[in-house]
Amino acid sequence: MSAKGPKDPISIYICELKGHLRARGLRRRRIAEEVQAHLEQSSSEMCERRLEAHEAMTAAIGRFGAPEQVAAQFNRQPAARRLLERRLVVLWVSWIAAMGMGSATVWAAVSGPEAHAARSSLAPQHISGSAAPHRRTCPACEGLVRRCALPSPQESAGRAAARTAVRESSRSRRTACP
Amino acid sequence: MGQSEVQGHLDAMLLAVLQGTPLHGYALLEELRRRSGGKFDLAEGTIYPALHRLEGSGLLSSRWEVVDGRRRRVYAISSRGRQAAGEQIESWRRFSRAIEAVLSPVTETRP
Repeated sequence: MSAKGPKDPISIYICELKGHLRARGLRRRRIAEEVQAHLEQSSSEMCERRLEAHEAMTAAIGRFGAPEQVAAQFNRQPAARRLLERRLVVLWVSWIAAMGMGSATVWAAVSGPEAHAARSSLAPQHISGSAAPHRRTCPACEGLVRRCALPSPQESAGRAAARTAVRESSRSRRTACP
Repeated sequence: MGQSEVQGHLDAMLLAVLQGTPLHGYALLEELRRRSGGKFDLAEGTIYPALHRLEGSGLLSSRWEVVDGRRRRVYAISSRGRQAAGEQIESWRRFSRAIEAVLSPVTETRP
């Protein structure tokens, strides 16, 4: 097949076919490769029947059909397949959204003030009310929380003392009343 | 036989031929020609879109193989394809019997 080269009729035909195809990527390459193999086999068999190479290629192309007609048949994708593809896209988007919402929920549960307060209530410093200075990062979860929502032991003691003083003064007011 | 006549039954014919053995497109066409005694005047480019469509429907599967030194896409019928082929062949036989009954000369029996 001496006529085979970058400008041979089969290569030109394949270029034209690709130009009319709506398919992209692997599918497009597969179609082009299948058609090219078919045309080459067809033309080589015609060459065996003593046809000149260029003539054989042209005849093989003629038997195969016009590139725009062949491409139009490939472009008519069944509706069922298009529907399946759309469903897959919806499923994929839903999965991504669910993963995002799940991550946000977990993050809120781990780093939210309620969770932090719950963890902090178990911390020995808070329970014992030790005299250690209250840190702005919680000992129960340092690194995760920047600010502790609970009052420091000193603040707790001060508030308790204030409550006691109020109670005492109201009691004394009641007893002083005739 | 005209192309439009063949085209309507192309899927059934491709499935029927592939029931015997897996084949690539060119061999499939030759087998169709051989079985029809060269009657089918089919544009060769029409079988590849049909093969792709049947594969998309799960009736065929395909893979690359090297046949006679050439890389070819070889198609094989799936179990769903066999079932579909059986149904389509049966449907065609019912249809052709009905056509035959209509076209055959009537032998009137008078009382």
